Amino acid sequence: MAQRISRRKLSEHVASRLLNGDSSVITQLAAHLVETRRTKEADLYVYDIEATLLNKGVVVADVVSARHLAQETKDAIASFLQDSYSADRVELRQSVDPLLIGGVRVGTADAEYDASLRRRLTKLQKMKV
Amino acid sequence: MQSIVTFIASAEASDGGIMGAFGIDVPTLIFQGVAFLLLVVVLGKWVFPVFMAAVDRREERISESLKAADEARQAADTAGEDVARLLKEARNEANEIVSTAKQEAAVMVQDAETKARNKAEAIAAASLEELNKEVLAAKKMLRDETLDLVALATEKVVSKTVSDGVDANLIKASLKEAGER
Repeated sequence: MAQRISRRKLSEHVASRLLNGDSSVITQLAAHLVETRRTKEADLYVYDIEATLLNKGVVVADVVSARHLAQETKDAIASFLQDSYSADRVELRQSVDPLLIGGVRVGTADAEYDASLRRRLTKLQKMKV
Repeated sequence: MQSIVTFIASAEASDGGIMGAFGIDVPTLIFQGVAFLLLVVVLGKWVFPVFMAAVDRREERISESLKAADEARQAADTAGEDVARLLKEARNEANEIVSTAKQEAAVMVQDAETKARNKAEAIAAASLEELNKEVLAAKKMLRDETLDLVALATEKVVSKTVSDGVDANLIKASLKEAGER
């Protein structure tokens, strides 16, 4: 049986190896979680890894938009994140959600920026007294 | 007694004189005088006292009756005065009671009017407040429904009109705005 390692330490290890360009560590982490029956903690591990990377100057952001983004737009988002976090590198995970209607929602380990039209419409509806 | 009468009658026939000229018979006169005196004595001793006592009693009863009548008349007069006085007092008291009752009735009427007026004003104020609440509720509901409609309409319109270029410009503008904040 594998020895139980704390999530924080494991996350730091995975982040270090990712920074070194070793992407196989993700597969190993997944296997470890399955073996130790801790698959439910996967999201927590992702969060901790991203937080560790953020501390080390790498921003991993979830970018959700209503339609596929052009490269120019992606670059603008990356530039924005790099300026905001004074980061050395920015990695974007893009996904499409038509419900946003327009705009973009950007989420990092420690913050979320929602500039979607859906949010504006929701804000309009929340103006009910 | 009969012998005395016989004696006098025989003496009378035998002697005349001045008395005889006037037809006065002295023995008879004396006899009648004595009889009269005897009568007077008897009457004075046994009849007149009783008679006078009866008369006195009658007079006394009459005077008592007169006195009682006077007293009764005086009592009647006094009673009449008392009755008049009592009637006057009763009349005055009745007038006072009527006057007091009228005043109290006027006060009660005024109080009732004031209470009715206050109640009416309270009802009107409550109704107005209720109406205002309903108006505010209706306005709120209208506003909420309008917001929902606007949001829905905006969503439908924007979904059709936002193109890739518009979306890209929208994202850049948002990023610029976030950077300036």
